[in-house]
Amino acid sequence: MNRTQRLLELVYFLMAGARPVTLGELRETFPDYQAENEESSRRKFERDKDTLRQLGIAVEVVRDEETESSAYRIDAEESFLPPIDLEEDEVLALALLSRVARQIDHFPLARQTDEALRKILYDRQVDPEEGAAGAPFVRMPDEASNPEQREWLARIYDGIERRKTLRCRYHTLHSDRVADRAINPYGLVYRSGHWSVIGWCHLRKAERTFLVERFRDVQVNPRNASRPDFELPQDFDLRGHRVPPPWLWDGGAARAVQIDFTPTVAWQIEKSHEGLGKFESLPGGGGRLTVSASNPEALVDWVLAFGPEAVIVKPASLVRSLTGRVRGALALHAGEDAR
Amino acid sequence: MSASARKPPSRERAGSQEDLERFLTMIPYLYENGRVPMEEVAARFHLAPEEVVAAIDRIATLGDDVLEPHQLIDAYIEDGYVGMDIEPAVKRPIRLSARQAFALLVGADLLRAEGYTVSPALAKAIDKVREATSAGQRGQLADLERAFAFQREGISEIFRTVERARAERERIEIDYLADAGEMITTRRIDPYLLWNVGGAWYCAAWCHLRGDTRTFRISRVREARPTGERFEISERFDASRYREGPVYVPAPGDVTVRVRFSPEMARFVEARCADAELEREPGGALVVTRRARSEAWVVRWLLPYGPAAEIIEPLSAREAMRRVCQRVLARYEKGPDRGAYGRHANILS
Repeated sequence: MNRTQRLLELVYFLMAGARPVTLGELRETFPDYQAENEESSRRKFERDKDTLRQLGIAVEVVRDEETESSAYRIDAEESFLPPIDLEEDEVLALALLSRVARQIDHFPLARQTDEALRKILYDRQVDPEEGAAGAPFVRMPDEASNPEQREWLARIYDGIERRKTLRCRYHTLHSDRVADRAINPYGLVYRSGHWSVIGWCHLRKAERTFLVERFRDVQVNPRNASRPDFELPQDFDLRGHRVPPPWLWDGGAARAVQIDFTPTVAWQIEKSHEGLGKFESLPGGGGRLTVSASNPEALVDWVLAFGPEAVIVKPASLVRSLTGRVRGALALHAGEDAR
Repeated sequence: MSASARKPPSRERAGSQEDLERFLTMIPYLYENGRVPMEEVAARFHLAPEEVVAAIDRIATLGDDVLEPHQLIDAYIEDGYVGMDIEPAVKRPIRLSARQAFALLVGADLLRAEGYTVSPALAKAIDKVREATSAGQRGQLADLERAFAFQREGISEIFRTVERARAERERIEIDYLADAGEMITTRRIDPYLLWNVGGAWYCAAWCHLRGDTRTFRISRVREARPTGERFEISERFDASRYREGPVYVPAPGDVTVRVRFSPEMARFVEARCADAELEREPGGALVVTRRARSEAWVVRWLLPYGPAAEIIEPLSAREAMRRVCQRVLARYEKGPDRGAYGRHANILS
C-alpha cells in the first residue's frame, strides 16, 4: 500500500469508529503495520501520526490506565474547518485574493494561497473570474535583473519560516565586491519592485538590509533541519515598517538639510512627507522640507529629480555639490555632438 | 517499487503530505458540490484529467480492506462529471496551516486600501480565515505576520474620491501634475480602473482633455471634484492590458533616446535598466537606448547623474537638458529681485 493511501485510510479509520483505536487494532487492520517486529510497526505508525499532526490533524492519545494501553482518535473539531458562513461579497473578496496571488508570480506564497482558498471555499463553486471586470487589483512587478531572484526568494522565505541561517554570496554595488555573508533572516520587505531581506549579519554583527537581487548565491543551512538556528528578536515587527529613504542608508553623522519646493509640487511633498522630515508651508503656496541626511549625495539625487521645482537652501556644501553636478551636465551637453 | 519510493525519505514524506491534504480537501468538495464537471475539478486542484481519474479511483477504492462496507465512499465519474453520493466521514477540509492562513493575510494586506469598495468584505472574510486556522499553529502565524511588509503609498482622500467615482461611474474633474512634474493641468476624467503596482496607486481613465484613455498616478492628483455627471465605460477599453506588462506602454509620440553613462555608473544603471537595449563600450561606458513618454521625463531621469550621463541623441533632448540645467542654476543664482523662491544667491557667494 502506498503511503498516501495508508495515511488517508488511517484518517478514515480513526474518524469512522465510535471509540479510540488501539495500536493492536490498527495492526490487525492495516497490513502495513503487520511487520514481525512490533517495534518497527510502532515506529512506522509514530511517523504516520507525526505526518498527520504536521498537517494539522489532531491525533489524540487516550491512555487506559486499567489495561495500561494507549488508544488513538482524531479530534474532529480541532482538526477540521469550523463551519464558515461567508456572505457573497466576502466570497468575491476572497476570489479577488486568489487573482492577486496568481498575478504575482514571484510571490513566495502563491501555492499556499491556492491551498488555503481551496479549503475555505470547499463547499461552493467559485468562478475566479467572476467580478473581475473593473475590480481593484495589485501588481508587484519584479524589477530584479537577476534571473535567479525567484529561487533566492523561495530559499530566504524558507529560512525565515524555519529560522535557519542563510549562507550567501552578496554583491555590494558600491564597492563592486562579492563577499560571503551569513545572515539570520528575520523578514522580507517588498518596495517599488524590489525585495529586501532584513536580518542579522554575522559579518557586521548588526541588523542589516540586503537587496534580494544582489545575491549571487543563497543556501539554507542544511544542518539540524528541524532545529531553528536563531530566535526572532522579541521586538522585531515589520508590520507598518517603512524602508528609510536612501539618504539615511549609510554614510557618516546625520546633518540637517533644508529644501524648498515651488507651489507646483509642494502640495505633493506635504501629502507624502511622512517619515521623511518636517514640512512647513511657505507664503505663496510653496513649501519647505527639513530632513536629516547621513548620505547627503543621495538627497541631491532626489532633489535633482524635481528639476527646477526644488532647491536646496542649506547647507552650502550640498548646494555646491548640486550645482556642480548641474554645471557638469550643462558642459557635457553644450555642443550639438556628443563626445 | 514505485518511482517515489526511490526518492529520499524526506521528499517522499513531503509529497505524500501534500497528496493527502489534497484528497482531504477534494472529498468534502465533491460531496458538497454534487456533480462537478471534470474540468472544474482539474482546474481547482491543478491536476491533469488523467490525474483526476486516478484520484477518483483512489477515493472510490479507499478503505476496501480496512473499513466496514457502510463507511466506504461512493465516488464515480459519469458523462464527464464527478460525483459522490454517500456522506463521507471527513465532511470538511483540514483547518488552515499557519502558512496557508498567512498567505491569505498577506494577500489581503496587498489589497488593503481603506476606501476600496471591497475592503469591508475583505476584512470580514479575513477574520473568518483566522478562525479557521489550527489552534496549534496560531503562534507560528503571529510570528510570520511580524516578518513581512509590503510598502506602499498611503491612502488619501483623493484615492477615496476616485474609487467612489469609479464604483458609481461618476465623472470627476482633477488637477493633475503632468509633463514630468512641470505643470498642473485641470481635466475631466471617467475613472475606469484603479490598481496598485509595486506600492503605487494608478487609475486608468478616459481623459476628456486628451480624448483618449490615459493612466494617472493617484499621488500626482492634487484635487478631485465630483461633477454629478455619469459615464459609461468605452467599449474599446481593454482592462486586461493593465494586468500585465509595464505601467509604461509605448505610444505614438514617444521618444527614443540614446544615453551614455560613465564607467563608474555603468553597473548601477545596468541593474536598473534590464528592459532597455544596453551596449558596453570598450572603455567601460554603458550606452542605453530606450523609449520614454517625453523629453521632459528623460531630463528628469538623467539630471541626478550630472556629468555621468550624456544624451547622445536626439539633439532636441540635448537641448532640453541644457534648458533645464540653466533653469536649475538660475534658481540658485538670481539677483536680489528674485521673488519667493530665489533667495538662495547668497549661499553661493
